This record gives sequence, C-alpha cells and structure tokens, in this order.
Amino acid sequence: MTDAFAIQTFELTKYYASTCALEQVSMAVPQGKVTALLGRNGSGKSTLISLLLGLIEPTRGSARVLGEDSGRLSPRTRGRIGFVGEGHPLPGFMRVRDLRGFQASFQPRWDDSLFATLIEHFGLLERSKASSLSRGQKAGLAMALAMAPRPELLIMDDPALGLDPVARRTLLEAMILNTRDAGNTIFFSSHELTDVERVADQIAILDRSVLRVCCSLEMLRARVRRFEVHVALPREVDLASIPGLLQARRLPERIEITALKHPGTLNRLSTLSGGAEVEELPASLEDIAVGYLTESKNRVSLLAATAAEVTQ
Amino acid sequence: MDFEPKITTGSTSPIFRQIVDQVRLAVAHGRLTEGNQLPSVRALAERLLINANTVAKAYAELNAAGVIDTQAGRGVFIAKPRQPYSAAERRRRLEPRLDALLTEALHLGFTLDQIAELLRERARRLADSNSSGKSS
Amino acid sequence: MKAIFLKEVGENWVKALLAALVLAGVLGGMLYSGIGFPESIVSTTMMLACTLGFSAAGLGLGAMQILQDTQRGRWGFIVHRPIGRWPLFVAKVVAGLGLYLLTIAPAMAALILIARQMRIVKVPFAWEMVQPMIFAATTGVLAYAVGLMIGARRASWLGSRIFPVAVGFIAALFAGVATIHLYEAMALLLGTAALLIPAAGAYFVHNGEYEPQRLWSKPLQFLIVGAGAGCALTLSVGLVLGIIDGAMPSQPQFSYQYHVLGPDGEPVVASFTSGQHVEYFDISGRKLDVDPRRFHTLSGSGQVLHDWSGPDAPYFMRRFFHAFVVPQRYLTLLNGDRQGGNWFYVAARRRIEGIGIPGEYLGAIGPDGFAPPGATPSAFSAPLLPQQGGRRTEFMPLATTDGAYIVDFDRREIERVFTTGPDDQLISASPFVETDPAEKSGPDVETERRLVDTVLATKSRVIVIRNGGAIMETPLLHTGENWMLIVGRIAGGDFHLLYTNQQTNGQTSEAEYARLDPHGRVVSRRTLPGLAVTFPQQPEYRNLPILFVPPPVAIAAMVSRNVAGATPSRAWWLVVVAVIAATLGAILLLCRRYGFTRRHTVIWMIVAAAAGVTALWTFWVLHSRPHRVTCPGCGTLRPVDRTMCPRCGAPFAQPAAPAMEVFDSTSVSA
Repeated sequence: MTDAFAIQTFELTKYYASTCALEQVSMAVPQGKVTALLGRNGSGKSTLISLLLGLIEPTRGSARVLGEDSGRLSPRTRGRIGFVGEGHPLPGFMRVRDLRGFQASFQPRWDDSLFATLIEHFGLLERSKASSLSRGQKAGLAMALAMAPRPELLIMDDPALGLDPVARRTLLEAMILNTRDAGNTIFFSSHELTDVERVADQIAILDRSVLRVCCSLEMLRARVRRFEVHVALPREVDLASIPGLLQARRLPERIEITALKHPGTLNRLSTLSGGAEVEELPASLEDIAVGYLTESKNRVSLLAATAAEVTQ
Repeated sequence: MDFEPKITTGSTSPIFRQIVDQVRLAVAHGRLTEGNQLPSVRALAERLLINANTVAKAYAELNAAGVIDTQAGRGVFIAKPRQPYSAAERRRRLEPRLDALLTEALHLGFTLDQIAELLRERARRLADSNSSGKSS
Repeated sequence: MKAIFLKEVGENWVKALLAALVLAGVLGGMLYSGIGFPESIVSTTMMLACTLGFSAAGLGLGAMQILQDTQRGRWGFIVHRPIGRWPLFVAKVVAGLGLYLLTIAPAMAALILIARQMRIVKVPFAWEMVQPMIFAATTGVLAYAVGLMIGARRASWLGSRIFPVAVGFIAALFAGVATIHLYEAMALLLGTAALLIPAAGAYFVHNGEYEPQRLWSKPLQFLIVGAGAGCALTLSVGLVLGIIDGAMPSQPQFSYQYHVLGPDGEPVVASFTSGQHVEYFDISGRKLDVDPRRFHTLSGSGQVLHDWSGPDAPYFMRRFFHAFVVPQRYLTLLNGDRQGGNWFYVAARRRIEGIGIPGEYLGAIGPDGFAPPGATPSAFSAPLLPQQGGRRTEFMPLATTDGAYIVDFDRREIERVFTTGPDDQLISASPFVETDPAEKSGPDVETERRLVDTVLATKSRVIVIRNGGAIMETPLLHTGENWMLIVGRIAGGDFHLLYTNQQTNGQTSEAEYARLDPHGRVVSRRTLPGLAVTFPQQPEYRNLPILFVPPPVAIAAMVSRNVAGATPSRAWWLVVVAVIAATLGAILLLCRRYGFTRRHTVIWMIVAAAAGVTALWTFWVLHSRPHRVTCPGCGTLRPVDRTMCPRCGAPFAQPAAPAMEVFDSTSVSA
C-alpha cells in the first residue's frame, strides 16, 4: 500500500527555536510522478526537504521515504535517493573527476557512461575545480552526481535557482531524462513556474509553513478559476466573504479574483457587485500560485492605487 | 512526418489540452492524414521538454476520441476518420457551444447572417494559416 | 570510507602543511636562537611551547574538519550517501589523526635535528629526550578530540561551545603534573580523548543536537559539558570574589607562628604576618632584635621526616615530590632517567648534566662516577631521595634510600659515605652549612656560609657525616607526616636539633628541642610550649563558593565547619539549604517545562542533588529550549515537540485552514 507513494509525511512539524518552519504537514508524493513544491522564500520548502532526507530532526511528526522512516534511512535506501541541495553545495577543492570518483565509490548502481554524457551535456571539463564552475555548470555537476547512481527518487531543492535560461533548459532536459524509467519519482522545489508546468504531474504548495495544495496539476487547474468583475467596487465592499477566495486584485475598472470553483462563488460575486457582469475564466498556473502565495487576500493593485493619485 | 505541436507555457490552457487541440486541428485541416505517424510519447515529451505523462494523457484522449491509433510495438498513427458518436450525440455535444456563441453574438448585436459570414471567414483563415505553417 | 579519508586529506593537507611549517619554524627557531630561553628540547619552556603549539594545531584541525561538513548545504551532500554516519565520522577521525601527525612531524624532526647539533644545544642528545615531545604530541591528540567536540556540538549559548576545552585542559594538567611515568600520562591523555571522540561522534551523527542522542552518549556529554560549566562557574565565582576583595577597604591580616633555631642555636618563635617582616620572640614571648640572616648559619630549612617519595606514600604525594621537588634538585635526577622510569626526569636533564658554567657539559653521574659526554652512567641501586639544594662547586649530598654519596664536581668524583639496610632506609639528606660566629660581623654575612657536613635521617637515626665518616649519631625522636627537623651547629660546638610539627588552623604546632655535644651525647632536651594556630576570621562573603559547590560537599563543609573562609554563621545554613532547594526546584521546573518523562526527571533530580548549580547550568547548556504554545485542549502552554499534550493528552490542531485547500483524495487517505 505504501508502495504507491515515494514520500509520505505525517503531521510533520519543525520549529527553529520559537519560529515554526513547517506546521503539521501531511502529504503524499506518488511514485513514478514528478512533484513540484512551490512556495515563497522562507515558506519551509528547504526545511521540508531536509526533513525528508533526515538531515535535520523533526520537532514532531514523521516522514516515510521509500517506505523507511526519514530519520533512520538505511544506507541502502539512501543509495536509491538522489539529492541536489540548494545552491548546489559541492566541496570546492575537488575537481570534476575527483567528485566522480568520490561519488562512484559509494554508489553501487553508479552509471559512469551516464555521468560522462551528462558532464559533456553541461559542458564540464574533467579537470575543472568545483569552485571555479559557473552556477549553471555547478548545477549540472550536482545533477550529474545525483543522477548517475540511477536514483529511484530524485529530490532537488530549488535546482533552478539563479540559473540563466540556457542552463535552466539544460536542467529541464536532465530532469526529463531521469523520468525515462517510468518508476522514477522526482520531488523538487522551484520558483520557475514555466519549468514546473512542463514537467510536473503533481503540485504541492507551501504557504508560510502550511501545506495548502497537494494534488495533480490538472485537478488544481480544474478547481481554481479566475473571475473578472467589470465594475469598480468601493473599498468598503468586503471581498473576503467570497467562498474559497485566494486573491482579489482591485484594478481601476475591474476586479480580478482568483478563487476555488465553488457553487456559491458566482452568486456571491454578482450579489457583491450589484448584478454587474461576472466572467469565469480558466486560471494559469501563475495565477494559481500567486493566488495561494499572496499574503493579502484583498489588495488594491499598486498600479491602480498610484493611477488614482495621478488622476487627482 | 515531423509534426510537432507548439506549446505555450504560462497560458490558461493546460499543455496536454494544447497538444490535443493542435493534433485535432491538424487532422481537421488535412495536415495530418490517416496513417501519418506521430512521435512516441517519450520522443514527443523529450522534444517538447515536457513530462511524458502529459503527452501520454493527450494521446489517451486523442485515442479515446478516435483521432489516433496506438499500435503496440509499432507506434502512434493518425486513425481512419471515424465518428465514435452517433449523430444525435454529436449534436448534443456541439449545441451548448453554439448556444453560448449565439447568445454572446446576439448580445453584441450581430445578425444571424453576419454570424454565419464571420464563421465562414474564420474557417478560411484557419485553413490558410495552417497551410502556410505547413509550407514554411 | 576510503573516499571520505581521501576527501579529508585532499581538503586539508595544504592547511596542515602550512601549520606544520609554522610550528616547525616557531619551535625550531625558539630552540635554535634561544628565544624564550629553552635550554634544550627537554626544558620546561620547550615542553610547554610544544604542548601549546601541538594542541592548537590539533584543536584547530578537529574543529575545522567537522565545521567544514556541517555547514548548511555541505551537510546534505556529505551525509546523504549510502554510508552510515558513524563510518563517515570514523573515516574523518582517521584522516584527521593522520593529518595531525603530518602537522607535528616536521616540528619534531626539526627539534631533534637541532638538538643533535652539540654546537647549538650543549647537551648530548639521547632518544629519551624525545619523551617530553611525545607528551606534547599526545596532548595534541586530546586537543584534536576537543576540537571535534567543539565543532560537532551546536550550542545555543555561544560561549558554551568551548566548554569541552575544560576537560582537555584538566586532563592535560593532570597528565603533566600528577603522573610519574610517560605511559601513565599517555594513558590519561588518550583515555580522555577516547571519551571525547565517541561523544563528538554522537553529536556529529545527530547533527549537533543533544536530545535525539542515544542513552550511552548522554552521560558522556553531561560529564564533558558539565566540566566546562564547572570551570566557568569556578572562574566566575573567583572573579566575583576578587572584585569584592578589591572593593573591601582592608583585608584581615594573616599571621602564623613557628619555631626556628635562633642565632645562638636556642629555639626562638618566628611570627610571620602578611605584608610585614617576620618578627622573632624568645620562648617566653619577649621580642628579639636580631638580624634574620644570622639564622642561615644553621642548616637552612627543615628536613621532612616522612618518606613521601617511597612506594608507601600515596600516589599523588609521590608524584608531588617527583614533579616539584625532584626536578629542582638536580642530583636526584640521574637515576630514574637512566632506568627509563620517569619521563619527567628527562625534562630536567639539562640541569642534571649541565651543572657548572652554563652550557658546559659535565656529564651524567651514576654510583660509579661521571660518565663520559654522551655516555650512559650506571644506575643507582635504589631510588633517589628528594634532596636539599646546594651550590654548583660544592660537595653535594646525594642519597638513595640505601646510602649517601658525596659528589665533587671539580674533581668529577663520587664517593659513597653511608650505607644502610632495608630495615632502616634513608628518608632525608641535606647539606649542613656552618659559619664561625666570629666572622659573622659586617654587612655581608651571606658570603661566609660554608658547607661542611651532610645531615642524614633514616627511619630511626640522625647522622652527621664529615669527610666520608659519621661524626655524630643520635636516635630520631619524631617521624611522621608533618614532622620536620632542623639541625644547627655553631663553629664546631654543640649540635642543636629542633623537631617541629607544624599544623593548620585550629590546631597546635608542637616542637621539641635537643642540645647534643659534639659526640652526640644529650646535653639537654625539652618540649617547647605549643603554638596554637589560628587563622584570622575571614569576612563571611568569602564563603560564597559554598553555594556553588556540589550540595554534598557544601553540607559536609558546613557540618565539619571546615570551610575556606569564615566559619559560617547559622544564617549560612539557611542560605545553603535555600540554594540547594532552589536548584532542585529549578531543575524540576525545567524538566516539566521541557516535557520530560518521569524517569528522565528523576535522573536529573539526582544529578542536581549531586552536582548542584553546575548541574543546573549544564542542563541549560545541553538542552535546546522547546518552544511552547497554547494547547488547544486545556489552554495551558505545552512544548511543541510532544505529539500529545502532557497535561490533557490532546493532539495539536490542524493549522487554521481558510477553506481553500486542495488535496488529492489519495493523499488525504494516506
């Protein structure tokens, strides 16, 4: 039964002193799928990933990764999990070939030809020192080191951070390459929504240490809609009462609302807007992500606010 | 056959939907005809740099709609045009969209003739753009 | 494991090499140029410099090795691989010890090379002289373990990170002063390192956290961190006392009375008062107006009439004589060195062999005489006694437990002058200085001293030796731990023997005086009135440390009224009991606040009862404070690291959901 999930967490919670980095996160990452973890900086993505790999101890709750408790992963299981850390931390004094030897000596399933292919693909030289690599090259090296052991589960903490479009594209290729084996699972965090849209089957969204979404991308798109009300509503009108409201953005002549599709939503909107025209539109992934991650649910657009001042 | 759908990220339309629509459109306009081979799921996924599951899903939908025919071991081919739905069913599927179009058009003050003319013009343009895309 | 080993070596060998060059340069330079006056590689200065240098290298290396890989990011890269964290740690330590040897080897080689050049260090080199360096190198291994611990332990309070230094320092100090043999010192140092390394490993595998550790490592951590807390507490209390002392207008003066032989050989009472000259009184209490330098005409200080160096003496006292008395008395050092028994002997070898004009090598002495330069003399047949000092060109008394020798440095001769059996072993030997009172006028009395005789004490006799023969022998009247004997003689006249038994506060110092004619016949003998020893009452605030010592010690001190400062008044009982109760209360409160189990709480209460305030501080330093939030069940504050509320058993509420969560049915059911 647990085989269907590569990762499961149970009320996973982490406090750093009095700061809650992760609160009661219960989620499941299906095996053989690509799951993207979205969230703003500091929302707990790295904490969640560190907990999954048993790099830090949870304050309470637990996680199972490939069927084992994440705090006590056996070396065997670790061999089945690839990990790319945030910022691609590698010992800077080591050359590419040193790192290959280093990594290969631990990994029973090391695929040296795959490593060589990846290294070439990312334009890396065997003799380059890790400290002298560009960000993109470093990312490629970290990817190659994590992928060459042929991991069943690849966990990556924001691998695209700080990469230029070319490097990001290359990274994407490597990720897709890793899914060639249908049983392989990828769990990665990212801010790059276009990449996420391309490769992810599943979406998880962490908003200020709380898990808000964990479902297929398709389901998320079906559930979250965009509504446009073509009327300027006075500020006093309380949009927060809209069921399933994610975000409302007030522009000079209209209001854009991202909300869960709900039988009452349209009615409520037309009541609030005094019978004005309400349009229901599909939402893009960006709309959804921004909707979930915006702190102020009911905000006046900065552009609208300044435009009003200018006209006055 | 080097048919390749063009996908746009960040749009409100999911990627699998974009593939389905483009294949259907290409078939409708004759750019793809019966027996033409489509790339395999994995090949298309790697060419478009998207998740293979997404392509598989699009192909599954096209398969169910009878647009393509997946032959195990051989590949994916454009199927012989067939209608999986009865005439009544086809009508039933199109009518809501026609209703929406008519409502909107009449609301905007178009006459029925104007609407018919616009439809014809639009279809022509779509065919043109497809044939020009094909030649380039 | 091999890969980790290679990684560690690859990452740090350049740093190790740089450190090695610095060490070799500094230490070798010190010895070569004589900066800091290291007379030879066995001098105390050199040993201290080596110990400090090697320790610094070890500590730095250990801390660096851990910190390199526990940095955020690197930790995941290193730890997340198909290898357990313990093998990883072991590989690091093995590599680290190798690197440490690489760091110190050039310095040791440089020192040995310099020491072998007789033109630079005027002492012939012998391989035994490497022993102090081996001590220093072993201390460095301990320092490496301390470094590992410092690196691995994440401390909430920054200063507490260096607490493990205390254990290393205490062990090194003990090994340096309280062991007789090198192997004992090494066992102590390596034993402590063997405790520190697994403790550091336990911290390492748990990423620097204490709470998740296994049961076996927690007491170790408590001991290591607790020693640091204890030292920090001691320093703080000492500092506070010092500040109070400085602020007090005047301190009570310390005064102490004891018996000595006066200028005419009769016993007088000397009275020492802190900050003032010593004053002299006759036995009836009349103040005497004498020049204290006149007293030097008699044998200077007393002979200890108890054999602290023999095998019957407690280990520490024996060590005390070897460490502090023996090395300062060069003639006593020849024996143990040659038998390879006492490693510390070697440290003073320069002084053994370089007697005479500085830098001039006279040779080592055995019972058969001086050995040629660089050669090994024969060994004495019995252990040497702690000796009284003398001047370089004078005849020196040199004694083993079975006999006494006279050494003539000018003629490079040694002569056996006294032999005794195992039933009546020698316990003391000292030079006997005599001056003619007629020459004692004039300001420069010091120059008129002349060493003529040797005074020996066996377990039953006192013997005075002159020119190779006994000229006086009399039974020893008192022997024991605090008994001392002063022998005096003026210008070939009668012998004056003063036995004193000096005591501490609250007791009475006894003394007995005997006058013997030149043949040893008793002329007169009398017991002197005892001198009551009373130290001045100290201000009561000096009892402050009693509040911080372990409660059993505090109570024992209070009951026995044996305290460092003033005898505490009754109110102190109240304060001491209140502090103990407060400590226990605080621990109980902390245990509850941290959500400990009952068993865990009981263990900590016992620890607190045994260790007092130190335990409290250690508790605080070891544990990271759990954040507390309001329980949704009972409304009280509960620690966030418990799944169930310790008070009402309620779980935590799900995070506030604004009804816009989207989950797959699969993930919800999971």
